[in-house]
Amino acid sequence: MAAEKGAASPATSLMHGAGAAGIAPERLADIAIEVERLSGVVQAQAPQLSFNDEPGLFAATLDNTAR
Amino acid sequence: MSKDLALLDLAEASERLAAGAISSIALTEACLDRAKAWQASRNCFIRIDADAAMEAARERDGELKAGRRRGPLHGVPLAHKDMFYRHGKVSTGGSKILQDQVATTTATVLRRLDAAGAIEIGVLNMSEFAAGPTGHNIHFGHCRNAFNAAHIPGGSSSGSAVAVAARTVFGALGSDTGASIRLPAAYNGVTGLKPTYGRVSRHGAMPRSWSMDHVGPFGRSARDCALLLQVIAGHDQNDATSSGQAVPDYLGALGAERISGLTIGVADHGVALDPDIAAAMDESVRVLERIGARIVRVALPDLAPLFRVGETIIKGEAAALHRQWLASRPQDYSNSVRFRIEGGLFLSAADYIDALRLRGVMTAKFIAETMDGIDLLHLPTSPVLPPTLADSDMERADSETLLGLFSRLTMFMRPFNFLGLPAISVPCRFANGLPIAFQLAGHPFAEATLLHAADAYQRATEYHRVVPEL
Repeated sequence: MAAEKGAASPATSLMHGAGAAGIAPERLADIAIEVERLSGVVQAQAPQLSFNDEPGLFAATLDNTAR
Repeated sequence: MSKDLALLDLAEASERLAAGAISSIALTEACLDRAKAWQASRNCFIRIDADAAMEAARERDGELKAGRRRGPLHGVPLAHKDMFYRHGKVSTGGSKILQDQVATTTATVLRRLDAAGAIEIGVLNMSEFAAGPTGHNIHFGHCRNAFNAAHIPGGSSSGSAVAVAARTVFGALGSDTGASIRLPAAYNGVTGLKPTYGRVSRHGAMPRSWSMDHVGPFGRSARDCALLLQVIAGHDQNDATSSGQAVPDYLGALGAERISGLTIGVADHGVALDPDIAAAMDESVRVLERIGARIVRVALPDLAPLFRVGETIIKGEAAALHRQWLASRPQDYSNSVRFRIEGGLFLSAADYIDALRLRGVMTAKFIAETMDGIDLLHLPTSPVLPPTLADSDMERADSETLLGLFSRLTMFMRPFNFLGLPAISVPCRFANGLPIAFQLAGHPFAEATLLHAADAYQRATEYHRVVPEL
């Protein structure tokens, strides 16, 4: 974990990103790990998506399968 | 005498009021007496509005004498998480930032409760900005577990659960973005329902994450939750995400001793539970089987992706909501809440949108596969007993360790926020004096089935009737 934080490449890129102002550099290292983890999960699941899947499918699914 | 009145359940209080057997003034006095007595040690209220409550009670009694009954909650004292806006009043959201903000609208759920005749005796404590599963709050003081003040009440709707458990109100509303109704309900021995996404309007409820926020009731029983849900459910033209699905007769679904015909899938989750919780789960399944349910085992998919993709949505939306204050007033957030939100500033738009797209696909798959052939899914509400406040204070302890604990506390609940499916937490045992609960999740808009099963379970057991001692 310490090595991940120290590697700094994701954190370094975050420091130049919008919203980084006011966030301590050491905190940015933690955030970089967190963002990578979430992004990794989303991207690992993304192959389930087809081109035409849109966010509105969620509400339609609930309505269409209502009991 | 007046204190005994506060021990009635909501359904009994409503019936006796309607029959003229008791007055709203007497009920409200009884609740206020208990609220004041419990507040010192549990801090479940942010504000107690005794004068306004008594004035409303006098008005309701006068109306009844004149032959006017507004609705099923006429004259019944309630209180709600301090995040439901009421025009002209402050809703703090448990935060320093909103502590002076006067609402310019009234939440749809409050309008509906008003129309049904309910009274509010105050507003209830909560985690800051509805973020945090413990009930710690550095701005208004920590809320404490109704059964043991050294332990957390669970959050974020901490005050709602404690106020109902302590019998200071007959019911309460809360919100649930990732466990925030069900966890405090479980940890305080009350019944808490997270309805289907879209079943209850979010208009006028302080947002944490528009896509994942669910508004729902706390009650002393499933029957009390049904009464409250009946009043607040239904389409609202002010909330575009509210559903047009017809609202069934929830109370009409209750009253049976048996649940024959229902198939309950018991989740094979593969998670090591606290031994007391494991025993409680086994016992609750035996009771459900004894009262007529067909029990089958169900293999759960890996819950982690449901949890994490949902977390991506929450963090992205919360960051957008708070971006300006994070930049201009970072010192006015607790560390724990700021840490929870600020990561969302760095998520990519494509990841956030893919998370929203995945929600429909993963929900359809869960319904088609995991819920196939069953009416309800049974699993623990939380796999661990409530920790102490001292052991779970993120302002003091190592945040990474505690974030791991928090993920564990909520691991069986958060997936149902992402999936949008209804879920109810039902008290089922005690260990070391602290409550344990199981959770039932259902098909979309099947709240009546959830309430039917929970009500039948409560007709066969007494756990929900245990009143904590001050």
